[in-house]
Amino acid sequence: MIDTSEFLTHARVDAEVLETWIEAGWLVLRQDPDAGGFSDVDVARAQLIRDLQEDLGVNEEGVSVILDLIDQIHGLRRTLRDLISAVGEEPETTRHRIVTYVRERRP
Amino acid sequence: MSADPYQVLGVNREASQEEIQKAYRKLAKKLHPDLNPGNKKAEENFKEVTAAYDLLSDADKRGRFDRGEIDASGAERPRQRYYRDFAEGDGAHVYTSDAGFADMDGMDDILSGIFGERGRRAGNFRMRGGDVQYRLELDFLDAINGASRRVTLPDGSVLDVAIPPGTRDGQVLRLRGKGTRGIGGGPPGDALVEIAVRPHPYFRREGDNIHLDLPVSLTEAVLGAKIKVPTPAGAVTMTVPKDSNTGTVLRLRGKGVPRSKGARGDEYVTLKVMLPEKHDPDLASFVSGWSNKDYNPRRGMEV
Repeated sequence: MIDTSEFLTHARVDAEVLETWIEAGWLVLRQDPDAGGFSDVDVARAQLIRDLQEDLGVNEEGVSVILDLIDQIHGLRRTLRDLISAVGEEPETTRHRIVTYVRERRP
Repeated sequence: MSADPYQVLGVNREASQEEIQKAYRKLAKKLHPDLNPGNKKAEENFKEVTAAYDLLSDADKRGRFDRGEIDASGAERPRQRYYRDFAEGDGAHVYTSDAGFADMDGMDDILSGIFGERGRRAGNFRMRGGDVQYRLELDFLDAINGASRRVTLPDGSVLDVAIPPGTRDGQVLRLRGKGTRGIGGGPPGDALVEIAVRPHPYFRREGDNIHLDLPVSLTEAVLGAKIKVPTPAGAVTMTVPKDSNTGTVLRLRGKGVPRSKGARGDEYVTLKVMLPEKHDPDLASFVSGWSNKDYNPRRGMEV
């Protein structure tokens, strides 16, 4: 865990900007601020927000939409990954049945 | 990397800085690793594009490259860590959203069977609260001069609405954060208040100007007078020039609708000459002896 001033340095943003990001729901403070409040995930997420705004010229509404979709994608990816590994634990015949089922439905 | 940066960005050697930035943004939107979480190759291409942009967007470096003083190698940015590298880890659970499959039939049962609680609830779904719409009726002068209104909402809470001076009929005031609460820590929505302005018995509004039909007596019209005239901000004194007539329009500068920065529109006063309401024998005998009593105001109508 890292504290706010460390976070501001790593993420290269100022406190005012951080405030607006939290208000917009782009960053979420951890429940226990004494433990630091931020983690590497937040630094990477801040870097993404800066890339979107500065490098790609995305406006504020655009950033919200993109973050929301990215969060959904990662939720889906994580679940899909877990499902795939669960399928991998099944006996060969079950695996085969599931893979065939999925393949037949692909366009 | 030693590919030609101009080729990497797909621009010619004379390209302006704007063209270079445009080309870069177009490619970066396609290739940014966080916009391609499942595509490892995107990262390689993105690095190449970013390095080319870093070189060409810096006028000094670009000049040295063009003169052959430096080559394109060694221009790569230090490798940053991308969000996707964390997004499926445990630390990212506050962001990761299951909204992408929340509507799938049967998914709840299957997932709750496999993953326990996490599969059942919609993850850490964050959403901005909804906007709520209200309609507020205002008296004409309150809309012109500005006012404050307290609105009681269906849930019993109260909302103070500041009506800015010059508010128009049909205008929608947005009260940030006064809508429904956000979900999962998302920001609240806004309250949208649509204003309906009730008509005034004698003022009419056109844009930022006020129009008024003003009755004047025969004496005031013929001889001229100083009279009191209502304006949205209170009565003012106006001079009616002698020989005024019904339809004469007088302008009161700056007595109309307030605009931003203290300016105001004008009030246009259209005179309406009124004869006394009851029969007046004096007036009748005066007009009978009036030398110009054959004046015909309908000359232009061919009757």
